[in-house]
Amino acid sequence: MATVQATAQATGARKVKPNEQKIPLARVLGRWAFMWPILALNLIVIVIPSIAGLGIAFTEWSGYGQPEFIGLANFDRLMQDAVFFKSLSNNIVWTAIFLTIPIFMGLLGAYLLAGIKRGQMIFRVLYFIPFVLASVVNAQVWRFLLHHRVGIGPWLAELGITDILDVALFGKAETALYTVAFVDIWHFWGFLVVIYLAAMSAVDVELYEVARLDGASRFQQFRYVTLPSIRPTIVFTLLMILIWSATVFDYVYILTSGKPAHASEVMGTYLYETAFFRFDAGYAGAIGVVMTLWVALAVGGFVFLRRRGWDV
Amino acid sequence: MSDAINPATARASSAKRHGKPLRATLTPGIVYTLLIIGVLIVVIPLMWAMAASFTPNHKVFEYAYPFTWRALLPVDFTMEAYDNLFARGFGRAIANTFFLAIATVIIGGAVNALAGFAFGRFEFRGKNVLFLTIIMLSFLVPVDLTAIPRYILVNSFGWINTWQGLLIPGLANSLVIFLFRQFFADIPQELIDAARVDGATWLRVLISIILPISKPVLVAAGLLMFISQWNSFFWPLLVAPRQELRVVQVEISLAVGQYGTIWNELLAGSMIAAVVPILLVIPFQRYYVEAITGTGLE
Repeated sequence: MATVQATAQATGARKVKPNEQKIPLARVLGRWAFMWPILALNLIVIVIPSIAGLGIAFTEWSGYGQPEFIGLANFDRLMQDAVFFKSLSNNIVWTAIFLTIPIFMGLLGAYLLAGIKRGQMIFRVLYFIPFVLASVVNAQVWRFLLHHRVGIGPWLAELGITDILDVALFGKAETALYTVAFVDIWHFWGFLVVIYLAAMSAVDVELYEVARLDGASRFQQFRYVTLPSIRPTIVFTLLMILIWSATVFDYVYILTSGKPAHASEVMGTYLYETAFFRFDAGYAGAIGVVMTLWVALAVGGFVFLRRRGWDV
Repeated sequence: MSDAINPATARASSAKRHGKPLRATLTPGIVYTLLIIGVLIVVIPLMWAMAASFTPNHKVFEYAYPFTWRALLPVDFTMEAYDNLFARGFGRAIANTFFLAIATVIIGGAVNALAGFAFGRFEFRGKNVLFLTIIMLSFLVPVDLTAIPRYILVNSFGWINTWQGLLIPGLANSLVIFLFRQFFADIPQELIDAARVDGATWLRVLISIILPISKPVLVAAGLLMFISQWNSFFWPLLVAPRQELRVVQVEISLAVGQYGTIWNELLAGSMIAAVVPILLVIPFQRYYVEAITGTGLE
């Protein structure tokens, strides 16, 4: 605390060396006062719950009373648990879906938008709307639209196209997870459009100029100018998707709660069910540890690649 | 982005100049057609749901099966669903949610701005470790995992079914701290020095010098906090199930099971919950997007 100094961090204009300026203790405490509220809040909301959450994985605990330390027993149980593996594999499927379809839609939307002058702003706002709506809202809208008795499905059935949308998509084991993923993509893709569009707008126009002089086709320009230029943004969104796919919860919980028969179960919903309905907080903690490991691996890999000199 | 020369337009004109017709030319007609398809994908589901919310419940299915254009426009316009909803206390939920969201913006905004200022302008030992710990923990450890101990902690304070329990865990927002830190770190030192020489305290500097020039970050942070609190569902469901404290999202989600899905009421609630973020995002989208893209690209 003694080395408190006021630096022009961003400008770097006037760096004050640690001991050049003696600052009275009261002033030091005064500066820390800026931090006390957030530190206290973070302790309650993030730090203690994170440590405790990871800690309970090694206990047998109902959520009430005294947790009993049982070492790695919960993880042994995980290894035998078919439902856990079903949810883990659903998380992997979810990741594969989200690393491809929304990225493609986002890139396509942003590319098309970057090419127009008139109305770019309006399109951008409209595409962004589903992203700012609550999961509960989007889920109800689609629960309604994809209901087997209303909307698109029966209409197609009228036209003779049956067995595609006129069935209970959220209720069937083969379709439940994909249908939830569809709703989540509908909510999410506009966010990617907006992010990629911002990145594409920052690309140096002269690069396209040069590419054109070299006779690059439009696709080649996209492939060799646009994509490399926005690579950091793409990698960042891939990382976010990796993280969110491990912890996905809300759309699955609201639309199917993992049903039928765990067909659409993901780790997030399984954890919730285990902790709050089966009062097996220790075991839920073990599921949470697996999720945390997944996220840590994703972030660790990202940092590792960056350290290795990848421009990601 | 407005001042950048548009790459695709430039490309199109140059293709003409060179007289090299591209095989798969994206004419403006095709581009706009595709973009409008995108808009329809977004807008039609919402319009459909809105129309249904203004339709008598027994007709909701009638127009959609078989599908006619009537499904997209409320032809038998009625406020029945909205009236029923409010008769059941939905107004209370709206008031609760507004109160919570505004309190979050004011209190959370102050707390996060102070922290962002300290992280952005002060040097102290352990600053970076502290910053990384806060950011990393909040992004790394899944929210549903921390919800268990957080619930138990909040319960041990006796905060279940209280305003404190609803409000306090939502105040600290790492993304918002990050936003404030970036913005404050970029403010020229000269501005601050001048005030410091005059003997102003840091708090005074923050309030009278920094805040007046911080409109973009204040709007962005306010929007982020308001919308995330307005949309929050999981924590309120867990911590405040009591009817008097219910928020909009919880009220909607409970309506599904409770009343055997009365479609027009369910959708009416959803439309009310949707209209608030939409009205906020249309005028302020620029700030919101800049905030998100800014943090992402750092």
